[in-house]
Amino acid sequence: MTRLPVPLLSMLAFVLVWALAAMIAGSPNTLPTPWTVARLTLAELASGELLFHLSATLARTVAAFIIAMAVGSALGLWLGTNRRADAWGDPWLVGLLNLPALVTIVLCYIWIGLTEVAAIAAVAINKIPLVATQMREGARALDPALRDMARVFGLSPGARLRHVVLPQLAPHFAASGRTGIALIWKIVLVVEFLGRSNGVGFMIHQYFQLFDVARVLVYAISFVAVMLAVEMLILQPWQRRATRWRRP
Amino acid sequence: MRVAITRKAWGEAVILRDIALEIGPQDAVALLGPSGIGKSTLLRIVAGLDTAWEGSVTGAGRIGMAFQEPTLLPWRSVRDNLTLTTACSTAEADTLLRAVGLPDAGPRFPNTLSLGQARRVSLARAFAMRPDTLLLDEPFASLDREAAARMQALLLDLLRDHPARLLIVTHDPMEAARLATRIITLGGSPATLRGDRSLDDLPADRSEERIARIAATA
Repeated sequence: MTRLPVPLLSMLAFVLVWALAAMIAGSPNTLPTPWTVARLTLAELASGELLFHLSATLARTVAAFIIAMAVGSALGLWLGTNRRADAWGDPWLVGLLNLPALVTIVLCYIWIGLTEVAAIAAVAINKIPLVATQMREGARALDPALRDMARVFGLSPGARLRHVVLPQLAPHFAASGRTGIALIWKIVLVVEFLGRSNGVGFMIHQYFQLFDVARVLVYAISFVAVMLAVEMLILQPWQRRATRWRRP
Repeated sequence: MRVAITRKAWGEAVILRDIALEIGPQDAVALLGPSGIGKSTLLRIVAGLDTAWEGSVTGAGRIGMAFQEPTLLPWRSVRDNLTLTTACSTAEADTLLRAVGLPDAGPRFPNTLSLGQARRVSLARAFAMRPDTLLLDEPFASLDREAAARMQALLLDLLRDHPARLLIVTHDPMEAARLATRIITLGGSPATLRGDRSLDDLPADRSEERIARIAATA
């Protein structure tokens, strides 16, 4: 017998528990069986609906992710290396960290309008303070001995950034990236639920109004599958590569 | 090289005061004194790492430095550590690694090295700068006695092949006696020059007995 990898077995166990629960409940409207959901998923795939809405959500997730990582990193580095900026910026950061996602979304829609820009801005604003906080920690932990070394050996500013500073920040960047992508797509769904006319969140809104649990699950699980693929095929390999020097 | 430090303070506390030194291009100077006296501060001033002081340092030329800790970039191979920080060629890097007794270390990552090996890479990196002035800040501290002696012999070999002005900070009179042509002692508070003694023979010619005698009077 060939041995299955543990993550796969773990996912199979989940489906098994779900199937059992669905059979015990015996109420397809509340908890449909895995095969009902699978059949509907194939139907939505065949009609092109699923891929259309998945790609809309994925595009918003990627856009908000890139903006949040870029702005958050720059902000975090600035606060982490400049004491005066940190003193001024810290209360803002704490305030933003505690601002509920819903408030940002509603205000963005009211102030900017029910547009794509407002949707992506709302998501990015939710994530920026988290990235900034983590990157600030990274900037504070920069090794002064390596900084001195770079100075004595006369490294150019570009070389210092590339060979001395960025490698020290990479683990913080990777960590905030991995937690970021999970948070961002959840907020993207709320944004779509409240004010977009496509995307997974919009479809969940539609089927929620029809109380169609099966189709809500189709869209939710499909997007979770996409994010699992992103995690395993892009983020984890990249993080392993960036930290390979740690392993002897 | 001329070093003239009129005053160096940390906040209110004056650390160094009225220090004037002239160090010739072939001098090997050991800077001796109890720990905490300001030897490392003096070295950091010469290296240009400290800016809040009064005075001037001129004529140091190109500087190569080895710190108390090896301070290698952990995410780069040993060879990259030499070529990236000093702009020496790969061939020069490999030659220096052979010279410090680590011919196979080039592709390895620093965390696979022992402390002694990492120190040797750090020394090779300082020489890879082709320095006019070599600054060493207790580069052999926390090594056992045999390892330290091997490193000292290695340093003398490297200096013979790559002549440079040497300024080494140490608290160990034996180390000073093994390496220096001139021993400078710091003392007092704030620290000033207490002794400046030129030795008339080269370190390589010294017997153990002579080294012990120099150390005893240093």
